[in-house]
Amino acid sequence: MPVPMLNARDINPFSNDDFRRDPFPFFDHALAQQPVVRHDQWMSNAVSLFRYEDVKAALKDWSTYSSGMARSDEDKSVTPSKTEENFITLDPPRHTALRRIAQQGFLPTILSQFKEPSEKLARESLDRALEAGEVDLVNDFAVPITVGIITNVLGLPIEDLPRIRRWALGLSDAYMSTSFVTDIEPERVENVMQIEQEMVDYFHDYIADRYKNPREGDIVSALITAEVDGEKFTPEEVESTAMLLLLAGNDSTTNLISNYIRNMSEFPEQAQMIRDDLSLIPRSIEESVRIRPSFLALERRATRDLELHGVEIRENDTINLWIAAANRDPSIFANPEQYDISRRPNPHLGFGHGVHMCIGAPLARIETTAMAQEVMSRCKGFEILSEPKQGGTNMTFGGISQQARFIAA
Amino acid sequence: MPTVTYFNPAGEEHAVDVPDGMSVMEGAVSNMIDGITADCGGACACATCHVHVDPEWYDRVGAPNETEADLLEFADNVTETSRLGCQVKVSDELDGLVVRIPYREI
Repeated sequence: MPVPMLNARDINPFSNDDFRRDPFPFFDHALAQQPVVRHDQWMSNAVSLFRYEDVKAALKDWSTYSSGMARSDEDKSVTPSKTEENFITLDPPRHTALRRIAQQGFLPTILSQFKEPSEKLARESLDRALEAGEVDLVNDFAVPITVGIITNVLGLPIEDLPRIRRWALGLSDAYMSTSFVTDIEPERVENVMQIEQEMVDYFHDYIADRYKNPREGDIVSALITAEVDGEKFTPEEVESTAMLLLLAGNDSTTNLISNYIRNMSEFPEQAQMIRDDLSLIPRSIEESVRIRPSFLALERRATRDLELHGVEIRENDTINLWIAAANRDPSIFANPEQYDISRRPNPHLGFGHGVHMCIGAPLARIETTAMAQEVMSRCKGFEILSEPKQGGTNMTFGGISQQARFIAA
Repeated sequence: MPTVTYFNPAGEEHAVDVPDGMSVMEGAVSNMIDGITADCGGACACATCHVHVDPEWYDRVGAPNETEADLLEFADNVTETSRLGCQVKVSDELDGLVVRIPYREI
């Protein structure tokens, strides 16, 4: 039930309060009554879109809704340049060229080599969870799987795993450190910045070494050697892309896995249907991404003045595309608040849409499928034991720590 | 190794070797052939690897499954031999396959 609300502008979606624990009453209200909201009182030049058709159209229309510099100037000054220029923050045609190079590393036949490692990591994670009784769903269960795989994907030395995991944990406090909530404590920002610098230095050395001592078979090698129309990535672009993959491949998939368990806990009768027929797992993952996507919103920048549903959007406004709201738009998804594995088709926007659609989605599906196979065949239930601790960004959705219990079948 | 001939949206011909077991989409992406962006990475979730199978090859390639047919409903320039490249696996049986990549509004 939408809570009575006079004006969606009075809600601050960039704040670290209860908003992110349950943003859905706000979304319901916006979907029904205020499909475009200006947030001038909370953040200058920020606009939000919520409805499925609007969000999808904006994701498709990169010439109006640009991925370039979708941030305020203040945010920019604290963002190291090394993580700035990559195929997430560029528009076509440069984006097309870089993405085509990166895509060489993400073809299904290449990714299939990560199926077995995913299964092994999932098995070990669940072994530990069952033995421990009570675990941190995020840090003890999901993170070892996702960080283990991304380390594999990037060909990083196994002995570096502890520090990579430490970075992943620290950085999950703020997605790529660009989108802090407005009321985050300065120490947390400082901590994230420090970790990021450490990581930038590490990758600089690591990539330089990979140029000197070429290897084969992992994504970094693919990034170094791939060519589009005679053009290759520069070493800086390889560095930036590798870090991007570490960050993007960590937080997003970690949320995907922990959100899946949250859904199974909240909708036990649906979980039982999956347990009874494990071939439903791929669909159960799509539905999980629909109802609890790893990101609440994606950011774009308006490249011109326009008007949408009677609201003025100005050039250079930051546009928040709330995919979590669009995924519960009742005009597309009947009973949107209900987890329902029978939805077909399930055209959710949880992995984005258009030219920036998540390049790692096939890998995320491999990892999550391995995890789901394991837990759905070995557990009869899941208990969530605490409220999630929220990270310092308004973009990611899932919480950075939460106690849970896996109940053996 | 099977050969697949792609005509890009501009009508240019590219005959390339595609390893057995790779998809028509992967063959295009790994050879940097224009017109197939494969936004979703081959998950049968986006229709940006839409191809027109040459009518002479269509019977051997076969019809789309239900999920793929749903997606094709929303694609541009669909014909009776439309398929999503990510769902067509190349094999020796398809050696010589010819596909045309339709023009698509980005």
